Amino acid sequence: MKLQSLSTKIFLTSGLILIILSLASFGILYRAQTQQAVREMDMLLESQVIALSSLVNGLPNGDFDFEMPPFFLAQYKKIKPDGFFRFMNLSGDRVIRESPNAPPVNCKNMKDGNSSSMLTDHHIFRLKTLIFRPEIDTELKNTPSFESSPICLVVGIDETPYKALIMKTLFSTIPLLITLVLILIGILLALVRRITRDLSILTRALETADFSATHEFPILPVAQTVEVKAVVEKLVGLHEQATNVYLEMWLFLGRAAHQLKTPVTAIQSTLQVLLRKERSKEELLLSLKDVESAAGLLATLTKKLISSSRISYQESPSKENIDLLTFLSEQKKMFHSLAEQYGVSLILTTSSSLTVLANPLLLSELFGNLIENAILYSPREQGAQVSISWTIEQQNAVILISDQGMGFPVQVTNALFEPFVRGDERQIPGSGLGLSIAKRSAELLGGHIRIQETSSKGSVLLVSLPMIDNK
Amino acid sequence: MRILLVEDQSLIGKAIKTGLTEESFAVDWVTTVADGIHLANEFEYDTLILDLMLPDGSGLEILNDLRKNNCRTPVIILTAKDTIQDKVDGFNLGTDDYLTKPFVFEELLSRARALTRRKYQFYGNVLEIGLLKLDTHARTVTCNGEQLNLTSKEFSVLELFLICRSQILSRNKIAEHIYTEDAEQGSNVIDVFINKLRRKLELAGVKSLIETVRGEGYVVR
Repeated sequence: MKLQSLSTKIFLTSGLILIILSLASFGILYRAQTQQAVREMDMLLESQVIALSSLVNGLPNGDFDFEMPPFFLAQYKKIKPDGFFRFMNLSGDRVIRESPNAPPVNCKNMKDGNSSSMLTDHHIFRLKTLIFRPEIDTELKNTPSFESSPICLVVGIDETPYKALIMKTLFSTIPLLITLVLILIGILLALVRRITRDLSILTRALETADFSATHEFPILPVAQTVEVKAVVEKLVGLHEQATNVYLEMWLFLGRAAHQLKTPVTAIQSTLQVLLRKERSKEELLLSLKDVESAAGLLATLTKKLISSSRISYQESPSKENIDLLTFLSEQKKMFHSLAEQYGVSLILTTSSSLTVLANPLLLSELFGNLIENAILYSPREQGAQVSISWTIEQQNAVILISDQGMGFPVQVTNALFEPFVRGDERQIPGSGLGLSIAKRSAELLGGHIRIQETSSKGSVLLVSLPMIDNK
Repeated sequence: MRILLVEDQSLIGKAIKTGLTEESFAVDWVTTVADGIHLANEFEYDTLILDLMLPDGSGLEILNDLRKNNCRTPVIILTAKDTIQDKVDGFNLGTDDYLTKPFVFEELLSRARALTRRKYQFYGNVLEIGLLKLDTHARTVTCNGEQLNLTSKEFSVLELFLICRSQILSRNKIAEHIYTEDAEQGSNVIDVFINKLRRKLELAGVKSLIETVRGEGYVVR
């Protein structure tokens, strides 16, 4: 379907209705005029019938006496050029008297007193028929048992001049009608413009707005209708949301680049100093070890960034039943060497099975980051522990991860799960992404994560995960 | 020339220290604000190189402490913080230079040299005394067109004598200039060092350039 502007569409639709209405009223007018004319013709014929029937007298021999002087018929034609009359016997085979221009109508098929129309030689005649017994001549009134014979009178009038008059009358109204229609169209146009003005202004404002050059939303005119107001409000809201997401993305990118600076600078400065002169094999080896260590940091950071980006655009991950005991035992094995390196014992304090509905990759991101954090932030002393326990609370699996680290500073606890926010800025190596990845993973799994308690002697992180699909 | 480097990233600190030491700077390297303030007050450095984001605070605290005590030692801020506001804050507190990470070592080196020379109000490239010419840029010493074979420490001390001409330099001052805080030094190490330098200069034809001032130190007039 062809795309049209709303105002054009409203205008065309209502214009069409207007034209149909005009044509209909023209038809109704024509019909009313015709009916009026027929009524008038019938009344005229009625009076003629009465006048003409009074001019006939019955005779005893069954014949009739007409009181029509010789000039009557000539006069009749002159006065009524479009009319005629005809007297006939009832069987219709004998015309008794008729006007000079009478068409060959027959009484035979006509009923008394009826009005009807008849078509003869391109003329339509309106007819009136009367069957009657004429009065007896006054001179013969005293004749006993004398009754006049019945006679049929047909009076007609040509409809054509009437029809022509009606058409003339009707056509004379056409200029008026057109003027009226034009005025109505004008009013309609103005009305449509007025109704759609709000929307047109909004459309134009949006078309000319430059979204690329500025973060500012274009200033829109004040809405006049509820609908446009709602649309404008929604647009402003969406724009604000989009701008926020855009800014957050750039902020994240900036922070990520900032994090990358440290290992990149380390690699660059080590290599630059190394290449300044000839080096012994030992010197080369030592420097290369430094480079390797910085590259390791770079690799960890890159891996976290990839995880972070992967879970950022994931919407509805596939889920399966996973036993927490089995899963966390595997995680414990995976973190065995790191825990040993930091002198931390990683303990699962619950031994019962508990099934959660989760995505294995997201679950690994979630617990991997939390366990890694707990180990890295544990105190560097013998006997430090990271323990994991779980239980059921209101159909949710609640997992507690406790460490004996330095705790989270109170001023950042709210922001801790945001990317690149770190409890301890520099002392412990880390990307600043672990907790944000864990939080997003928990949310994607339909659960949540929070700091249950924290002090200078340790922290407890609580993870809640659904055991059945709530959706 | 003695430099205090405050940098908590071990690999970066190690690289800078190695590079500067090889260019005959004596580098003391610490990783915290507290150690930085302590050393800056303890010794007279020729230049300070400060990182900003340190585990116990900002490198700006060291700069602030230094300027509050009216110490004019040149300072280079070397940091990953690269916004205009960061730079403005640094310069407002009295830094002489601002270098952002990742940086090119050569650039850090030339800036450190330029600032060190400025400390001694020397703005050229070549120092001359008689037939002796010392090119601070090319790091060469020539006598009558012939090049002298000096170690980087010897070059550094000769440079100090020529920059501070007619000033008596104490043994301590010379030691501070070329040895770091943790280097082992005996009492006569500087005397042995100066004698060695004198011999090299005499071999090249420059005689009695460095005079001994009894009980005080050495001077080049």
